Amino acid sequence: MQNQLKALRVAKGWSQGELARRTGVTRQTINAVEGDKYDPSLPLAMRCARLLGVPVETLFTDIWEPEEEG
Amino acid sequence: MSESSTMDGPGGPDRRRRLARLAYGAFVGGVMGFTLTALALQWLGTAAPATLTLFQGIALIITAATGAIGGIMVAMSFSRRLYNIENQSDESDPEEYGDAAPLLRFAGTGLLATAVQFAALALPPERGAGDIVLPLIMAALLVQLWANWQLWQRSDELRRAVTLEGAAIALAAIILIISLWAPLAIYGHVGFDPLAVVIVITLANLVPSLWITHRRGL
Amino acid sequence: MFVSDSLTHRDQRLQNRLKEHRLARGWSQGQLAEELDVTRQTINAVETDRYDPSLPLALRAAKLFGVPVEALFLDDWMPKERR
Repeated sequence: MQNQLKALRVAKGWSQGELARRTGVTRQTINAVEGDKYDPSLPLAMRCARLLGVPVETLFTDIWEPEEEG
Repeated sequence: MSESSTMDGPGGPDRRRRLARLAYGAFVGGVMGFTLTALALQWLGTAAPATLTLFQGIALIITAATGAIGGIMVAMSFSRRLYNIENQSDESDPEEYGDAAPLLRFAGTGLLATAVQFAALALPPERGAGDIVLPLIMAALLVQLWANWQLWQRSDELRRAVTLEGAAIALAAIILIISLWAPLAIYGHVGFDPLAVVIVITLANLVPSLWITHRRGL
Repeated sequence: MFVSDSLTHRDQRLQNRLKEHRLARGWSQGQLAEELDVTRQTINAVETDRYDPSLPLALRAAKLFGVPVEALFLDDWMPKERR
């Protein structure tokens, strides 16, 4: 999965620690997510998206597409 | 330990700083570890290390290592300056110490309890000493349990995921090792020394969790 | 920080509308599972609130049904006021 977390966080002017505090996790977790070392849980992803004011799909992109019906 | 992943900078100043940190930590840790071990041996008036078995020796090494690391972690939890020396990062956040300190304290306490456990295990069983040593070991185990529980309560999703991964791998490793060891011992190829068993189990637990923590860049 | 609104406590399952969307398409749990490349047990566990789906699974379900993720999974968490 690709993630735009860092770009959008920086655009908002927040440090990792700031975002971590607002979402209730540690800075290490935000760092790990941004560095693609950890897939965030759905609740965490949704909270980040809400705080940064974007849809979850903008923050985290999954390249899967549904199979076309025959 | 919560050393954030930093980029490897230019060889000079970064490397010197890291070596300085290592040396400092090793010195403090070494002193603490050695003191702990010496005290443990002194206390029950046992002989000098000259007559130790291999496993007693390993147990003492574990004592020194866990005592050292645990001591450093607890010290860092009380000293912001010490913490900052060990944790340099571009993304470091001044407020993070408040959250990191309790985690360090509990993890460090658990390791110190492990040090006490192995110092006690390393002692040759003297007649009558069991009345003191056994409760001491049980107390150390209870402290480890309590510390791990406290850590879990204070862990967010990443830390919990890492903890669970480490535990799963450790369990698989321990089951495999004991399952191989037992039949070998039954057929007389190796011994089944209790001290060796507890050492192997402890190492099988420590090594995967340290590896996973490192992989996750914590 | 580690109080009830943190993400340490899994006692807060997200509410989900997965079942409604699935039934609207006339799919069984097994069919939905096949579409999403997971097992039926996973779909069942998500629908009965025993399991929070992973982020990739949630994104795929949303893409499959053509709705935003927030329409499928409801989080009643509110951003904290700055202390």
